[in-house]
Amino acid sequence: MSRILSVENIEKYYGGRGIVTKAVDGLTFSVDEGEYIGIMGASGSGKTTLLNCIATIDSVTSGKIHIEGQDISNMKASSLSKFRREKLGFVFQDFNLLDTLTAYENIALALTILKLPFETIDKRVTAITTFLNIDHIMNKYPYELSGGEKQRVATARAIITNPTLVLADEPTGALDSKSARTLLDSFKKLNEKMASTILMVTHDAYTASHCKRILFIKDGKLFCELNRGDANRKAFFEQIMEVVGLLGGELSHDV
Amino acid sequence: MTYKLVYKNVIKSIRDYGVYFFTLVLGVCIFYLFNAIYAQEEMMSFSHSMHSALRSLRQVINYVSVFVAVVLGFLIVYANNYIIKRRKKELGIYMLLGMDKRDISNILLWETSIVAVVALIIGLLLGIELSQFMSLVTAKIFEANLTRFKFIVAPDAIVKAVLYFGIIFLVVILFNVLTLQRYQLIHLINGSKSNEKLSLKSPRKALAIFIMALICLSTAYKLIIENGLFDLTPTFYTSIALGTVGTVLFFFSLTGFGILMVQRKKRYYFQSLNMFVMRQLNNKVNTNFLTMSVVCLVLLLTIGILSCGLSIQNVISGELKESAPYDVSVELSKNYYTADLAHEGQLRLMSNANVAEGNLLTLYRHENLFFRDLLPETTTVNPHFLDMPITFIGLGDINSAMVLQGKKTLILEPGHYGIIANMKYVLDISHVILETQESLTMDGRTLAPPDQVYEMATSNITDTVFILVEQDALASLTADTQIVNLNYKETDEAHALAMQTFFDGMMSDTQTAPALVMGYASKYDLYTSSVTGKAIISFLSIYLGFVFLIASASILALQQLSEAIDNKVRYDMLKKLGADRYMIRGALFKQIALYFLLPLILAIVHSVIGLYVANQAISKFGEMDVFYNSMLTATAVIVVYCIYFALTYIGSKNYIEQA
Repeated sequence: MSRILSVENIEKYYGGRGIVTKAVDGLTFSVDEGEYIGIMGASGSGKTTLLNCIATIDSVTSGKIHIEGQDISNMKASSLSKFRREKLGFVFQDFNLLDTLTAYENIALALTILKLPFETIDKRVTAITTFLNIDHIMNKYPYELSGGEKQRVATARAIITNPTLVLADEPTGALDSKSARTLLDSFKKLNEKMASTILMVTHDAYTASHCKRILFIKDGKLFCELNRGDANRKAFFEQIMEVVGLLGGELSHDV
Repeated sequence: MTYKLVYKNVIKSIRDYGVYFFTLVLGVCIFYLFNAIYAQEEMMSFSHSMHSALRSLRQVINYVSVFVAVVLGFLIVYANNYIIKRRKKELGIYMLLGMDKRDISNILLWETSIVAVVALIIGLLLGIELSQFMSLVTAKIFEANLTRFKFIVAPDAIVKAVLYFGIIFLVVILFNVLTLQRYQLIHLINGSKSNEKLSLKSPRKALAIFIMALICLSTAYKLIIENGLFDLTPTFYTSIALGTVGTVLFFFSLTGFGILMVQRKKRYYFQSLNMFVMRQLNNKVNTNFLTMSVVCLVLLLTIGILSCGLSIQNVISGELKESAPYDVSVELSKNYYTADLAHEGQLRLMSNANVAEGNLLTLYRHENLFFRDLLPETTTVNPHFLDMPITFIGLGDINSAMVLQGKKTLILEPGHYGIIANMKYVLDISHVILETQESLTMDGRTLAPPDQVYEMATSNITDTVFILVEQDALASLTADTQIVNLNYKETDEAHALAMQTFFDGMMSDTQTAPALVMGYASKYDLYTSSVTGKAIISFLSIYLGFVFLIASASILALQQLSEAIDNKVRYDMLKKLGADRYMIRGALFKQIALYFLLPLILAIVHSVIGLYVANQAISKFGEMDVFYNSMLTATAVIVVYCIYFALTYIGSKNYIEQA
């Protein structure tokens, strides 16, 4: 298994003139191909900052981030755009679909930005939407879709480019529990059947319990790491709750 | 603290709302420029008649300025409203921090006042500077000479600009305060949340409406071409109504239909950000089709006013030289129509000490000869000529007139008749007579058709087609009109006015004898009225044309800028998906460019038809060079339009690229 992501001792500081906030303070970890990894932490623990740095939306103050061996911490803006569209896929809490485009067009957009010919685009969109069971809503606009449907469309858009790494930021945050379950099933399917590497940030223990490995972050530092191993989801959930308890019980408790 | 906030906000708003500021400055500048024309008098050598022309012009500009102020007032209130909308969240934060509405009103009041004062000062300075150049135009239009170059400032115009714009800004301030009172904090805080609702239409419906729009427009074009511009018949109004409805429907359905077309070319549609741009446009036009229609029609008005106004002006200038060959033409009363009495009348007129030379021109009619004898029954050029009796003129009379005009005498081949015409209006029909080559039988004599038309003015009064025959052929006919053409010894203004008093006296002199003079047309009168008319038409067309142009361009610009807020979210999304800066700028450029171009293109199509029809109407009175003036107009329109486009693009780009 090859190494997809390696984060080496990164730090991210905000502020200046004496008052410095360390959002991320010396984190080191790595993700291998085909992994389904969760990052948990309370509000303000630095998990979103970490995700933004990996997503190349934000830059680190010190340390290095390698994705597929490429150092992204000192890339130029133009090559970062290229890197983003070719190697990364994003799923956001608030879906971030374009309200002016249909579901089909929203998914196709990720490929048109890559300047692929239409025949390829059409073939790939059809394949991925069939895979995620959303082919019946392709001609609808975002406002005609439910939250769960929107998030699955966003997921399709994230993975259609066959990205090296899928980054999900609280993907179930705006969903009801049934939609959340359907979405997490989709993620599982992606990870198992299509071997997508997924890195998910969440503060919801139930959502996190679908991952294979979880990193806990507190005050910008790695607090501990949990491996699911052969345990079933229920047992893994119990383990997560224990750590959450240790962290100070700031995380949500709903199952 | 309030002071600091106001100061920073003013700097920020001038930077962020460059279009608003530019419009204010331009508005003040143009307002001053036209209201200050009267002051340029000092730079020119003006005759008495020019003074009265300038007075009339000033009066007309005074009236029109009220209208212009109302238009600009609406525009400024509208623009200000957009800015307040965009600042909702900022105002909400002030309230959240515990400022009461009175404090916020104060901030807005100061901000508006400072922006207004700065715009007024810059606008006036620019206006004063430009009015120096304007004097060259004024001199040309009034056909006056620039005698001395003097730096001129028109205090009246400054006071007026300050007063009018002061009122406009008061309205703006009042409007701001009222708007603020109406707002609830929750609405202000949520102010930037965009509305996701889309007014969607089925593509089929869009296609149907688009076809309907095209039918409306083509019918409107057809009707106006058939009807002409100056006949205010029901057909004319139907055409205008259909044109307006067609324009609205066109923009209502355009992008829906456009997307349908582009979507068929899937390779193009799914290429880079094309799909995104098309959808952006569709989204906009769906909600903004009314604005686009209004902008399109106002642009049409601008193009029409500017090019026609300038062209009519040229026509009047050209005609003047042709239509007044003598200092005066006097028409005698019917009582003097025998040859002897007319001659006596001529001598009485020439007894005036200031008359240098003169001749008598007698026009005849034959009771049995009509123009239908020389024209094909089916002529479509001026068909009313068919029933008009032929006006005859004798070779002897015309040649004495030619001598007076200092031109070569005419030659009439024996056994032929000749054709004389001057105004463009009758030249066309005279050429039809020439082409028909009909012989003329008159009291047993048959005259063969000529091989050319003499283009010349016979007097200051007449404007019909004359048939030229030998003088003796007319001996048996009775005179229809007797005209005495005179040239003066002294032609300056004082003498010209004295001569008019002399003729006026003769017209009203019914005590001693029947009045000798029935009417007269002096070169002086023709010239004065022509210059006045010309000046008023040209200045008004430029004035109104530019005001409308600014209005339409700034409405478009402000709408685009205010929508940059909605767009920012979308463009940020594209950035996250990995679209690089060039792709995003390209998409934004295309989007704004199309939004500016669409109304312009339709307006140009409208005006090509409109100018064609206008040309047909005006060319009855003289050749109009619409092409040259249209190019001039087009350049002016495009320059102003491009500035607005550039300001909009830069403003939106800066907003979208903000972190």
